[in-house]
Amino acid sequence: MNKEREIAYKVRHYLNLGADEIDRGTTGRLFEMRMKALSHQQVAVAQLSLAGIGHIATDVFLPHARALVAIAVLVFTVFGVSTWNDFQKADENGVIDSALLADDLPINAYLDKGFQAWLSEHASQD
Amino acid sequence: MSDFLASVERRAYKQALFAVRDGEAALDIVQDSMLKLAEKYGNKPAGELPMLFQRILQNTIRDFYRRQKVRSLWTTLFSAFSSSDDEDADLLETLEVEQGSYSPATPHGSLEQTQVLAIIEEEIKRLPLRQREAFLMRYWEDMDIAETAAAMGCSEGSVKTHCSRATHSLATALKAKGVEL
Repeated sequence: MNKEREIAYKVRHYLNLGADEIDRGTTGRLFEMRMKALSHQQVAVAQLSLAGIGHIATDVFLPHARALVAIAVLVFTVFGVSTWNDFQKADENGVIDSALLADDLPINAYLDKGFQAWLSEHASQD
Repeated sequence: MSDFLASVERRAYKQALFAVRDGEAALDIVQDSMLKLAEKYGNKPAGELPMLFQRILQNTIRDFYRRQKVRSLWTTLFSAFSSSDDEDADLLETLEVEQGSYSPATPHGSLEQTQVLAIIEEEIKRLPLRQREAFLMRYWEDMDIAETAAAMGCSEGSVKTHCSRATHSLATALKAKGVEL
């Protein structure tokens, strides 16, 4: 094991020499790459610092986005159907109420002259 | 992050170069690895960066191999004239890199050092992928066995085996070429 390490470290010495001998053009490009990578890191950090909520949104809600959208559509549909039914019921009740009110008086009452006189008398009092 | 990338970029480039044997492709691999590290792990503690970076680097090198495999498959299918001069090209490229600014005490010493470096780098390139990864991470990047195992996605026992075999292969190959370390 020690012999292995000894050889390895001698090889490493030469490898370091090789790394030091990389030409200027290549080291220049490596520098540019590093700067580019760091600029991307800053963007990532800025996004995170701006939006802790965004981080939660992407980490927690995004994986369940489909389910959430499906639930939202379901709730919206149920609410819409319920509202539509309420309008329908209100219309039907209106018709029924009118019918009931109309049915309170026999049809002959409208032909009775005394009733007409009573209606006009009450109307004038109001 | 900046200090870490500055300290590791040259070795990362050389690692990629050993693996893919193409300077431009090696630079692309290093760039992709740096970007991924900065974008995804920019807020990680400094102690975790070496392992994460090595993991990304090795994965990016493997992606390159996969793409190259697909490309060479198509090339083989559509062309009967595909060249296989990689070995020669690599040798020239290695020799170019060696004419750098390192200056030992004597010209003779400089020449000898350059020759030994060329032989070592060539033998490193010839190592099997996993052995090379383990050897470079363990002994060049100074990562411990657990970190190396985590970066390679294998057991600590496998890391030890890869390192041992790599060192043995290197020692044997260098001895055969008259290089005594």
